[in-house]
Amino acid sequence: MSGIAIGAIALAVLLLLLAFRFPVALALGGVAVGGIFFLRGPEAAMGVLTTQPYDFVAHWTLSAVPMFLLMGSVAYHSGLTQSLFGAARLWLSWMPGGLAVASTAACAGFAAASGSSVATASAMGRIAIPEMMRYKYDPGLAAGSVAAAGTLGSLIPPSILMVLYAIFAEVSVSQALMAGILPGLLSAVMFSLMIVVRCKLNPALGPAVEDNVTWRQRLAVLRQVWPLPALIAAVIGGMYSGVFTTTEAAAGGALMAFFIAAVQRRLSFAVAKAAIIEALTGTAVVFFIAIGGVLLSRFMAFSGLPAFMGDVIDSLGVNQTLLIIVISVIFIFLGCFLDSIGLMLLTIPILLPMLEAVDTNMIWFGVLVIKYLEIGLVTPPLGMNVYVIKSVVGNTISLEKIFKGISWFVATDIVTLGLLIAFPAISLLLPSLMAN
Amino acid sequence: MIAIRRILDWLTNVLMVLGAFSILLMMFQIAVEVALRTLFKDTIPGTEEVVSTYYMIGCAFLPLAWVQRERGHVIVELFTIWMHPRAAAALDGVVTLICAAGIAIFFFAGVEKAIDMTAQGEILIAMIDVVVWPSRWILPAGLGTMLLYMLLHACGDLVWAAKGGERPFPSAVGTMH
Repeated sequence: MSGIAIGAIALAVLLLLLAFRFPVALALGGVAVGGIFFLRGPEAAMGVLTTQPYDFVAHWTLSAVPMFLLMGSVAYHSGLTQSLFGAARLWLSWMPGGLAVASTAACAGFAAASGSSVATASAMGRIAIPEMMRYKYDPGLAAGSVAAAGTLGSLIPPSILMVLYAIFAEVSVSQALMAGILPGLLSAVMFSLMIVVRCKLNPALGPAVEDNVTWRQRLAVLRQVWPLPALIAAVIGGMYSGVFTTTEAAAGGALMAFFIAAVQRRLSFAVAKAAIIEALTGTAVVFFIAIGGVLLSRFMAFSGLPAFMGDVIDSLGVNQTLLIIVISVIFIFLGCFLDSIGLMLLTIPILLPMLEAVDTNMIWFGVLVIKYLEIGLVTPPLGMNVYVIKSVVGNTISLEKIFKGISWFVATDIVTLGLLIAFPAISLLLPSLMAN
Repeated sequence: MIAIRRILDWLTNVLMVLGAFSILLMMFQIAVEVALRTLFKDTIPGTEEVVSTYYMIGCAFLPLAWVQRERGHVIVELFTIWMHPRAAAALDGVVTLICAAGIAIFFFAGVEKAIDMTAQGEILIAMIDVVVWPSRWILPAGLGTMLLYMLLHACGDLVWAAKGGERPFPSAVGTMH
């Protein structure tokens, strides 16, 4: 049997194992090692298993992952993220659908700090949705705005997904992280625009909130919340200016999060313990899947399947736009069934040679990949954020209503995706301006 | 069973404490390195090597048993969501046993490498020589404890699937970031 056939069969087996509740990491790694065994024999399979996992993890650039996770978990467990919705509400509630816009902004900030879409949806859902329901907001809009905006953290730095993408696609981690900023902000603006327009046309969706907010109150709330945006800005600024590497900025960010929490008397032993445990388990889960991804990449390279696909694309004369559109459809479809990191690490080894065949900028493609994964977090049947929101709201909003409410945000995301595909400069402007 | 579980819990907690040291030392050492470089144009020799080989390996592999104890490894539940909990537990028991066999191979590969590197006295040559062979033992330590938990979970799942009653361990739950 040819290597290409073994590669194709292995991918089918992989999907089958995932359907049978095999952990994603072990399914990726098991299929890869098994595939290498068939292609190259037992010694090659053991050789890869002996060297690759350790060599992959013992990597200076990757240490940004535990550091960003630690920064996020300290910010979350010490309550630094708690006042974000209150602040966003004071500043934005005057708009049509102002509470939904405020929850979008607060989710974007929370997700950027915590780096976890699911944590964002869970935490902000508890604060923002009851408030919107109290003001008789449409339940679908209330739940949808939090579920969708919770996904923004995958684009706005620091993003664990983007760091992993950059390592696998062999592009600069700092540049990839910078590339996510404008698309992340664009997504937030598009969500807000959609909410404002819908509520302007149909005020019953988001009735006006009669808060008589003074500028004194608005400025006062900034004094409470400024450390968090300042922390994120310092981390991004440090990377952008080239003063710090990604790892250094991440470690500095984690230390600053501890420092801010301590100064604000929010840091106790219990908080530190919870934050460290969360960061460590997150690191272990992410790296275990990533090791599976590394082994799969190695197996795919041995099988020759990706190179074959690249040659096919080359010989068919498929242009870049068509390829990207086809990939978009595949990602959005698979995103309905697979988890974010697993999907990314499963597809990148196969797609890279195809994309290189049509001269694709891999940083730009990284932004698109993250956007696809974000959409996957809110599309049925496996929109994880939607289920998190459902568990938060209990029986007050039906799953059907949440998915219906989300559909407006998914449609908006597809328009944003179209803009990102049509105008690569949105993603590439900041990386191109970065200091080397 | 209870005694084994207690010993494993203790071992898992010890590994987690070592993991906590890894992540905190990583944060402090990188921050001090940056401060020294920026303020005094000085450096801590071997930082990159120590961070990569000790702290990173510690953060990635030491918490694996803890993750297994909480059944926190990501699975896709979608296609089996319709199953009766005991049928799902039977499937989980079989899947966990198969995975344990895979992890056992991974564990022995790690032990073999660690023995080799220890015998060679592996070092990394940087501004100073960094002795790295002890870090090779972190991987089998994390994987070995995880493997024992997997066997315990598989037994628990299969017994519960067959007999019912009170479930000894939490079920595997699909989680995603």
